Amino acid sequence: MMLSVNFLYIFNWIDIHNLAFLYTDPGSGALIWQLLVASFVGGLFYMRSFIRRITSKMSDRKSGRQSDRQGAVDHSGSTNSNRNSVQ
Amino acid sequence: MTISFRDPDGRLLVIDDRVLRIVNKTGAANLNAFLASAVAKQFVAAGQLARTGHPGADSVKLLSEYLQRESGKDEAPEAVFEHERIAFPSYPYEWAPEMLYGAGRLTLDLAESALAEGFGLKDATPYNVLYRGPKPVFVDLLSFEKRDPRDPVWKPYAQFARAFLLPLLANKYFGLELKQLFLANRDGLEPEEVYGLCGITQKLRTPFLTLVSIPTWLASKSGKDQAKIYRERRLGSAVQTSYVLDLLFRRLRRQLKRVEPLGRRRSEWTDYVSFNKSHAPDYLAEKQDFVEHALCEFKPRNVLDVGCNTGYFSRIAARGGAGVVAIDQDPVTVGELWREAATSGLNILPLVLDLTRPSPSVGWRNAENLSFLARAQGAFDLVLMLAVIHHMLVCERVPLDEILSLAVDLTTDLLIVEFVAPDDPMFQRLARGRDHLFKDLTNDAFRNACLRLFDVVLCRRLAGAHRWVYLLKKKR
Repeated sequence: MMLSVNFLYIFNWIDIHNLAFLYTDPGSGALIWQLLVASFVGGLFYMRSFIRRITSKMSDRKSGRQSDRQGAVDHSGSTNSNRNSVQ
Repeated sequence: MTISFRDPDGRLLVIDDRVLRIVNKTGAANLNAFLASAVAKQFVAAGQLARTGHPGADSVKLLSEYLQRESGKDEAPEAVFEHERIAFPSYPYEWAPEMLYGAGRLTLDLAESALAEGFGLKDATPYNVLYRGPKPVFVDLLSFEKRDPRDPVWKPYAQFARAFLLPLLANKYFGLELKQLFLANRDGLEPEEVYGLCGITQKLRTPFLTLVSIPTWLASKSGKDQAKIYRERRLGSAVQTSYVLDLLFRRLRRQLKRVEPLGRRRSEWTDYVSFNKSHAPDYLAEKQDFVEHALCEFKPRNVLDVGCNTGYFSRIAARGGAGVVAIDQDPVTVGELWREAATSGLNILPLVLDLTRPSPSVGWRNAENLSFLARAQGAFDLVLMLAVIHHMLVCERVPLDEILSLAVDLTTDLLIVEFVAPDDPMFQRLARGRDHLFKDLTNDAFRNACLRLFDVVLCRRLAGAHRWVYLLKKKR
């Protein structure tokens, strides 16, 4: 989904001017190939960020749960060694 | 004389050995910003970017006189910059493939480093690079411009492929020489041209698939929607764009590496000196002694080594402190010499060039790139022609007087020339039974021919050979 959105984003970008200030021949096949790869890589970037966000949220939640449990243990005073190491 | 004019932001002029660039407001803003950047300073300090600054009063005076002659008006240009002059300009059609590879690597290094500071390279052609000795120097500083950090397209991508990747690929896999490619097409090769050379399975293999086949297939399908592909595009963020461009440059580096010329290639000339070393050690030792003696006595600053082969004598001259331009028609030996000079840091510029067919003036009005002979005029105070003129006499049928007359044009002072007599085995091998053509070519006849244009400073017959080596001084 994210990938297809990015493909559209690249190819349906509305802009009023052509390649600005270009005086060398930009080619045709090579330019399309560059755009296709850029679209794919751009999509990859979103996917990577999306996956990173999910994994970091999951690890946040996991560490939150662990610290909750730790807090509960500390509160009960049943593990002296842990309390000592924090001190 | 205007030698560069394609960039609408400015043009380059060479007036009395001064390299001046006239630029408009946009160009001046970009160039000033780029010169102030850390990347420009870093590459200038490393000798990889031409030193550039504002011209002194004498340069400005020269320029205004030139412009007045040119247009008849007294108009001051918007901005002028002066570049350092590279001793001997050379072009891609005179380079060994290794040198085109080196120029490509420098182009990518600069483009990528400039990107990190918000500058884009707007053209990627080997004509932006000259060689100072064996080291590539990027000279077209007007090629850098401020770019939008969300622009995911490297605009000269196709040009980099045409001018670097595809010529190197065609050279490596199909044996096409750079001379053939760049003298015929200024900008190198189109993917479609290489596609026609590829076999069926080759078209589907790396590096052909992404460099040749896919661009060719896509170009043929782009017909109706062609206007759409030339629109500017922007990505959502600068970070995303930087990610895209980072991978693009990594891919280009991989592709460049794949088409890098192979090391230790062989040709019929690669073992010439080592053969002489083992079969005629005295001959080579005597010749070396003669050349070293001449170099030591006259201390030439700029040497042209004609028919340099693997650069045995170029290295001797360079070690003696001279800047050497070494020419030979064999791209393999020239490539090897370049590798060695680049590694050892010797001031040798090796070029693939046959003096009997030197590079012509090419480009617009035959004046964009000067001929080899025009560039060589007054550039060398010593010319070496060792074991080479018999090739010109026999294989190319150039008369002796013509060869000496060219030599006197090439040197401002000295010539070291080896005369190989017709009874020498190498001469006979080349003559292939045409000995009757050279029956009057004796050492005395050679000496007399030399005396018309030169004074003989020293002459020695080489041990065990029908060969003489002469140190000649140009008559004043």
